[in-house]
Amino acid sequence: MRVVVYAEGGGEVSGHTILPTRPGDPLTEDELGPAHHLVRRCMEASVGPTDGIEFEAPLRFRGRLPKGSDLLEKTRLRQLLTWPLASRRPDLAVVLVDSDGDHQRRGVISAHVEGLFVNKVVGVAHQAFEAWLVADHATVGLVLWRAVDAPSAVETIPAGEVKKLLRAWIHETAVEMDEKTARVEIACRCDLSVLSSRCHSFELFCKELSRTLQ
Amino acid sequence: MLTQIRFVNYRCLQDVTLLLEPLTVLVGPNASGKTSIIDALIGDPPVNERDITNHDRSLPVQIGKFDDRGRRRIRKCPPGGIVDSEGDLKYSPQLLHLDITRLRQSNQVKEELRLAPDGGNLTNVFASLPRSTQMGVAASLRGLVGILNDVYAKPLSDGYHRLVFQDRWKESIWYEPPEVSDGTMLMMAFLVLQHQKPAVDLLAIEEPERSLHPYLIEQLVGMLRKMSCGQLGGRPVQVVLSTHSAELLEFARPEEVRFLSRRPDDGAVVVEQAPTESPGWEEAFAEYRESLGNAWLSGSLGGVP
Repeated sequence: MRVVVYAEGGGEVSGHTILPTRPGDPLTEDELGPAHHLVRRCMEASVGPTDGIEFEAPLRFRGRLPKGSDLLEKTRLRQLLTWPLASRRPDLAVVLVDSDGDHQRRGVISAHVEGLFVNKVVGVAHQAFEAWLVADHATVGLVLWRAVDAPSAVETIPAGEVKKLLRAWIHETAVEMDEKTARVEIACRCDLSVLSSRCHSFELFCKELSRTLQ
Repeated sequence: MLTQIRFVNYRCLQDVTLLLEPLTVLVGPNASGKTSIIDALIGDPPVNERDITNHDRSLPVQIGKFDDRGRRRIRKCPPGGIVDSEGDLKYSPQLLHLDITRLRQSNQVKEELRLAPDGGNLTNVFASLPRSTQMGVAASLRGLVGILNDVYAKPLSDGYHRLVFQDRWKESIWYEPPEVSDGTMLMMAFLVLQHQKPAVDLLAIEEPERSLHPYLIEQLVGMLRKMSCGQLGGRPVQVVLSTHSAELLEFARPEEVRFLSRRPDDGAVVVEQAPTESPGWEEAFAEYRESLGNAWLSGSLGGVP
């Protein structure tokens, strides 16, 4: 199954001396971010273990990798989910955005993508995607080799705070680990049931993903 | 008019059939085969051992061209063999890869009726036009480059001449070529194309948009399209453009554009077209606000690195 994931932070790659993978080409494991791993694990939890999930590089907006703000604007988001050539259209497109405290965002984004040809799932993290990553404190502690202390109601932490919290934990870890590796590791090892119990937005996303895959 | 060119085992063009329109725009990253295609359209490129793709060296190299009158020209080169051509297709091609420095240079006076590939004989070609045609070219240039009023080939003392351009507001001021913009020199070259004698059958231009303001690009594409259907220049001249410009694509029609990419697994060139005949195309294009440049830059149509 060919899957494209749009998530905030995906466009922060400019200045590298290697061109990012072109739209539609398969991403290597090294190129996958925490959102890809969470999506893969949610899909496997829904349809069973599979090695047939292939993530592809997303479309760009006017030549650049999409930024978080592109995912919130209707025209841009619809372009990012439009593949005129059917052969290039993925089997599933996943859009993950932060609500940043905007309770209407889920409904707004869902309305933005109505009527498009591609099979798609929208996930809106309450406050910020990082809330999903810090929700399973025990796994975060194991990955970072340190004790972590965060409220169980992670979705009540303001978006900016939860991003800062995760960054601080990673920087103060007992082992040398860059931020991307730590985030990916957490996404790969966290307990999805804990995430679902602590993050209602994650639970909703998993259910919608499961419904779409049926 | 050529309707298609087909490549087998030639350089990176392992198995490519390119359908051609009166005006065709080739879009693709560097080394995606655009120049190889143009080389083959302009003439019979030499075929040697290095031109055979590595995929299957036991197969012959083949380049076939076909026109709308059922004529064809096919060149084959078996492995280790000599090139053999067959078919009755003949046409007069012209390649332009204009060089700004060469466009500005003085020319030794002589009659020249066709622009050189680098445009280095622009002054001679302009000066060889009938006076009434020169005035028409000057009027067109005035319409496109608003600060200029007139152009003529100014004789120099040593048997050479060069173009000079009159200021729109101060008639006593004539600008030398280095004093006018790159875009002005390019437009000047494009404006004389339709007056070449004898007219060519196929005109290939590499990166025509260089140094041109987007407004001029629109006029240029429109002018070339008119040439391609005979509305300018007397009889149709098929036009093939190669470009990296999203701005140029804004003025091309989706059905005119061919998107060239290299396959990631073996490097072979793949040519794609906007699916203008498919039922979902109009809706998809509407999502891009009918901007072919944006649709291309999204990567959804191919032709990107």
